[in-house]
Amino acid sequence: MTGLQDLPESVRRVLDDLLGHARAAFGDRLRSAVLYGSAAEGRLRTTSDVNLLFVLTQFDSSVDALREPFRIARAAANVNAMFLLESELAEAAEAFAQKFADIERRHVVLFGEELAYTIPRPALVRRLRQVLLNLTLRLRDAYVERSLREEQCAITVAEAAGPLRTSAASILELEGRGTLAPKEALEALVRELGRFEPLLPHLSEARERRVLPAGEAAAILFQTMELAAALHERALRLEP
Amino acid sequence: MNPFDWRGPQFLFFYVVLIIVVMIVLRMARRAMEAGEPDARTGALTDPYRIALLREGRQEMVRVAVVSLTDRGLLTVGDSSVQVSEAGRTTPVRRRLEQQVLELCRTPWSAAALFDSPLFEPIAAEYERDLYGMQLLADEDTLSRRRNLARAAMALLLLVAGGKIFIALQRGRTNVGLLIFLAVVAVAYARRDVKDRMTAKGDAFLANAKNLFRSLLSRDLRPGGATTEVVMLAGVFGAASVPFEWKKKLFPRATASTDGSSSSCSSSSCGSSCGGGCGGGCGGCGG
Repeated sequence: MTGLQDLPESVRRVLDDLLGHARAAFGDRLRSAVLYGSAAEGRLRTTSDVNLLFVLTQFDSSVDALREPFRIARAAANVNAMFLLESELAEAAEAFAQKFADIERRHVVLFGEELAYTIPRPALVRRLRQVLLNLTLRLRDAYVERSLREEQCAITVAEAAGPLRTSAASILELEGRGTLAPKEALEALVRELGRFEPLLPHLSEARERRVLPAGEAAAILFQTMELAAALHERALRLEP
Repeated sequence: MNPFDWRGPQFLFFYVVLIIVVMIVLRMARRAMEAGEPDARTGALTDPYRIALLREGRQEMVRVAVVSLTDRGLLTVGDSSVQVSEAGRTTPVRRRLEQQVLELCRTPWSAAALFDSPLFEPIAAEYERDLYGMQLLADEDTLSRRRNLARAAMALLLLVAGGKIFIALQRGRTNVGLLIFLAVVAVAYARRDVKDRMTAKGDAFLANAKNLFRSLLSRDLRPGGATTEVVMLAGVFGAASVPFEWKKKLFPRATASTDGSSSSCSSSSCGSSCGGGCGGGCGGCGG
């Protein structure tokens, strides 16, 4: 993990401020504050969310003091937060196994203790299949509904890129092939699949700039949908 | 090497350089006098209405409030009027400015008349007191210090110009028109500088806020007011910078000029051109 030094100064300042407010609001009820996702990886783009996980012993009205600072942090740096009780951690890790596998791969503890949870393999396999099936169905729906409008294709492809990458990282891990960053994991899987390599630069372009080459957007959306289906097929072959 | 003995063009060149040096020194002195590290944690930074007031004055403060309330569905914007919505009649709002806008808009107002209304003066005065207290707006003391500085600068420039004119006239030369013109322009510039509403600290504060919130200009903003993004965008970058269709009815002149400009526009008067509407995700913890 590259840590906070790769984040833009303004984002670091927003996080510092928000963390200060969270510590003041929650006191010793705040066990951990964890930055995860692309910000923790040092790959923040202008359109990226800055994802935070606050682990608490209790969620009570002390959070009121955090409401205004949080709204400002959201406006300034697109901060999203999950407020999780310590006692819910194990259950959340199982229920949202794919998300927590991603947190495990890409996170920086900003305050407090390192997160302690385990993701049961059957839960991760089940959730991975569910996410990929859901993504495939949503992309089919989006193709039928939106692909006549190129700018809508770019938005849809941009939104699909993240789940595709994290799913690829989970697949490689579950196949026992080590931990790769999500982007590199998808590249590795696509090389093996052998037919989606021209799609990868378009996924990055859509994610970073919300644009696709003129006249090709619908075809790219269709390929993205096929890639999701191919990953889902691969996930079906995993031993639970 | 006495400049007063120099010939016309040489002296004019010297005088222009002197004006530039004096203006730079004046600006630096003002900055040193009024500067201060802008505090990111001050209340004003988190209040879009105070930021709007600081940036452009009282009307802009009301414009930003109307943008926020319209985005939240508490005001409706028609072709020729702004009016409180059904939800706006019954929903309590936190800020006094918002309360006052909703109260006034129980009867329809034309947008321009609403922005101009003197009924917002007491609230604006209250916000201005905060901004004076934070030394972001120039108060009477600051203006007085600026005037003293400017007077010293003007005295120097007028003295040098007057001396040269006196010597030139004594030597029978009357071609002093350009020198007089330069002296008048320099004095006018120094006087104008005195009247800036914001202090150097205020300028730095605003630059800081623009830097902090600049990602809003390229973000897909969701209408509806669930987040504070729209009102912060309006507060920091201008009420007309919000990317929603209804702004054309509220700010017909600003939007007409924005529509007519090129896509490379990046000034504070125009913001993101991307529409709202994010596609549905697979749920809060979908992953």
